[in-house]
Amino acid sequence: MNKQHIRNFSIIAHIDHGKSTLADRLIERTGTVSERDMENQLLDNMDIERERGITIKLQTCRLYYTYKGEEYVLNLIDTPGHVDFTYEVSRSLAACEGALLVVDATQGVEAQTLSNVYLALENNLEILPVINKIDLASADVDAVKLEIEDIIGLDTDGCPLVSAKEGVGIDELIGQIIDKLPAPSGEEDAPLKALIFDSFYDNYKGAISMVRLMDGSVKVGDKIKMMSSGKCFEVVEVGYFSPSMRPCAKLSAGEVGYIAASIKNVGDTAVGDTVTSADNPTPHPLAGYKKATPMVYTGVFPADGAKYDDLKEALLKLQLNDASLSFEPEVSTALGFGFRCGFLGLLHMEIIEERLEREFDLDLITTAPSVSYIVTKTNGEKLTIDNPTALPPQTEIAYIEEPVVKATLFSPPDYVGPIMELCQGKRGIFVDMSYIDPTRVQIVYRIPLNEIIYDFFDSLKSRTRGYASLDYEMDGYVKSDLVRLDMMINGELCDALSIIVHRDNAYARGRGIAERLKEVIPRQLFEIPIQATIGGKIIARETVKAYRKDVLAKCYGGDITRKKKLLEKQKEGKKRMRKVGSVEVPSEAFISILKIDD
Amino acid sequence: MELYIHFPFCRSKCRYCDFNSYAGVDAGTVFSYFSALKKEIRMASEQFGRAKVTSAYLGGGTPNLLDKEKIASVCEELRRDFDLTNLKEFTIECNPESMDEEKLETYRRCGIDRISIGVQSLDDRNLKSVGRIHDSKRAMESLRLARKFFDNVSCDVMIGLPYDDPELVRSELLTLAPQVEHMSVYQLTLEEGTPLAARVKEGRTLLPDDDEVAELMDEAIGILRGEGFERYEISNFAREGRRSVHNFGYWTREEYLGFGAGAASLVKTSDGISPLEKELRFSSPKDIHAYIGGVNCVDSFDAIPRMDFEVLGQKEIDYEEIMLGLRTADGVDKRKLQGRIPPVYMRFFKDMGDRLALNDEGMEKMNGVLTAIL
Repeated sequence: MNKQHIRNFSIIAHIDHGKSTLADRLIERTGTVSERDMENQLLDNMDIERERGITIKLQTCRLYYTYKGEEYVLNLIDTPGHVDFTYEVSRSLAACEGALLVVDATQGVEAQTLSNVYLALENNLEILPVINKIDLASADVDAVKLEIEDIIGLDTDGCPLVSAKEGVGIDELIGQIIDKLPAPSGEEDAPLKALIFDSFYDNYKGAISMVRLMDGSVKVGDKIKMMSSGKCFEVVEVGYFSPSMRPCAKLSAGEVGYIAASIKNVGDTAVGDTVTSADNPTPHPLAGYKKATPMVYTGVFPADGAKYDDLKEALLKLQLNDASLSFEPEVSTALGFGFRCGFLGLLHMEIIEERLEREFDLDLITTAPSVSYIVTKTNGEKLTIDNPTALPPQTEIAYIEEPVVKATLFSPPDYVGPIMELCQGKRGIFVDMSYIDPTRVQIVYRIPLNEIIYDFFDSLKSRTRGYASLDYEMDGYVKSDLVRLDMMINGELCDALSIIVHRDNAYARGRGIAERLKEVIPRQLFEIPIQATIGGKIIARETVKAYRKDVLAKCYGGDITRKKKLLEKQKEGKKRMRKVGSVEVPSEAFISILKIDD
Repeated sequence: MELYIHFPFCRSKCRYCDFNSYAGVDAGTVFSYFSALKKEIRMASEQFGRAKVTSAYLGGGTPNLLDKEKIASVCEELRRDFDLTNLKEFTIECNPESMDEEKLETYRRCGIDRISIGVQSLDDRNLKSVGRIHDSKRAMESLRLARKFFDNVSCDVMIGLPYDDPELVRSELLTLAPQVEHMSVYQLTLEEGTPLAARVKEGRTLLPDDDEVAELMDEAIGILRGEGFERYEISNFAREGRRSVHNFGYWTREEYLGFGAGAASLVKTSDGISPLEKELRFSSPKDIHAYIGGVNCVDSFDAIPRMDFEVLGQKEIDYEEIMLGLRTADGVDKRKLQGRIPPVYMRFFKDMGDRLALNDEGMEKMNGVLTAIL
């Protein structure tokens, strides 16, 4: 294929602005999938993606299109829109020359529209703005055009106006993709140099690398080398997605496709690595990406302790296709054996937990999410801590630093008050505010990540009736007066309930958790004191009163068997409880502390 | 061994009742039932060889609903088939509504020496709301009648009925206590599928909650102790020397045979003397017709169709000894409990030398204690 007839592009947009629908329309219009097989969100393979209407994994699809009498190959890379998955976006962008920036004609520029544009610019992509949803009554194309020009600085003159839902303007759009986005460069005769922008595990073919060839070519039988590890493999299959896997003879410079080489371990096809020829290697690997670093950590435990191995197995399988998921064994006195898992954000966490429960049929107990803190001890030693139980005693701590994010919020002016109140309440520091136009304000705050991961999203949505959008990026660490809040149940420390909080919030949160625990822990044989403590000092106390009786004594005509069955049933019920000392704590207790309204 | 004979017939079903008893059974079925019952007793006798019987109990249902001759014929059958020379106690269960002098006289003549009367409450509103068909006057009358023929009288009282309050319980028990040697005090249990459960769910009947029932139970225990009764089992109270031999046998795991529909047995021997390798628990089908058919189509005790068959090895026996023994004031041998009781649970026990028994608090929370130690 002549490189001049190839276009590699991504679709970027704020969540819900219609990326996946537009991708569907492109696939349909180019005849890539027969009408019979067409369905909504075609590239979203996971049930969760379809149900939630979101894209989690990036997907690629090769489209053929005849334009002005010549055949073109369009490589579409669909990307996730949620802020948690920004790393997936940046990976796919590195494999492209251009990007379609989809903007909802009724919503205009949103927080992630902007952050995605910055990502695209960092990758030197040509950006083609596309205004979507023009069929809606509330669409205001001129205002949105103006916003794009003012805020982003892109020329919107003649930009495609489409309705992905109704299939309006698609041909015009494809024409512009070909006319305005650049063809790939690269030398087919140079040594192989291919960027791995994703990898996944196929049960039959092993680990498969999704690649963008920058230089050279690759075909079956070639010996390839992974430049970061130096490991060599023999290629058994090359091909492309359209949208299912289609083997082909050869991939050349400028093309997007996959390489299967009987690779057993997904770790050997690390995302961002450069693939080259074993016999004729390129001297210079590609720049690759920063590794996606987890931002949120939580303990994940099987509700049934015997399922530990199943959980481990399930996590390993998920990790094959999701390199950003990290986990290591954790032992809790309350919850037994489990894993400390690192996620990119709360949505990522929710999705992984949901997949574990649905795809692997596991019942899970998760502990409160935590972020990663840097603790400097009095002896000068520095520790990175993502688990509250690992925090050294207060006397050994010189100071603690916590991660902060730069949060950018877009909202109609009506909600500026509530948003500022929310940010202030979450220990946010005001940075900037500007009116984009009379109907929209951009507000920037510096907020501790630890506050964002609780219920910031939900609070923001409810305070602004869903009108505000949020994007955030890591913005370093700051010193903070943080303490570990411990919960004691019947005098015993329940490690799974410990959290790290700012000292100013500790009392309110301690009281809130104690009250909640009092509600969810059933009355038992004994009176159970529940105490919230900081460094051994009690700051809140509640009591679960003992029940008075549990016995229904009638035992008729010597029917002992029935009595035993009742007793056994009761014992079964208890097995589902977690023991903290001698107290039975239902699984909900551990989850309920996440849901405390301040 | 002990013998239990079940009569699953009542004039009407009480609203709370999920026991094995039926109202409005026709005379033909009752006749067939008695034939089957006597056949079962005969076959048991062949199996166990006129075993020595220490106690017998005619329960129900309402045994006194039946013709006195029918009860007498069952008693004769028992006397013919088993060795009753060492019988320590022979009880019949009666409900106040169908008691008369003739029946009581017949019972006495048959060798029955103890009567247990289902008084349940002395408050007519309570009795009516749970569907009892007698009133308090009739209940007191039945106690007086019983006294004429029996010097060992027991009554059942329910706690946790809709109109119960500490004052009511107090006056009921103070009225009843002087009339009886023994009293069973049960807490009303809402069984799924009973009319009472439905009424409570619909809000038509209001019951005291668990905490209130616990208060009422405390009140009852205090009063009965004051009246000279010992709480010798979780829901049974007796004057000195008047513990129920038969019921106590259930808790101490005496061997017993249950005859009749739904009756349960614990069998330890093959012929009344030689011990079995493993002990057996089983019961008969609850349905009257299933029971009759089952007995009629076989010709040995072993062949009778049974339900809930359990084979008990030493582990199961230990489990039962603890579960049942802790219902009693005599408790369980400390060696059996060795290493089972977490220290914090010791507050529910009282030390009786080489045995441990539950104290009053432990009795009320017995399920919780048992699930922790078993």
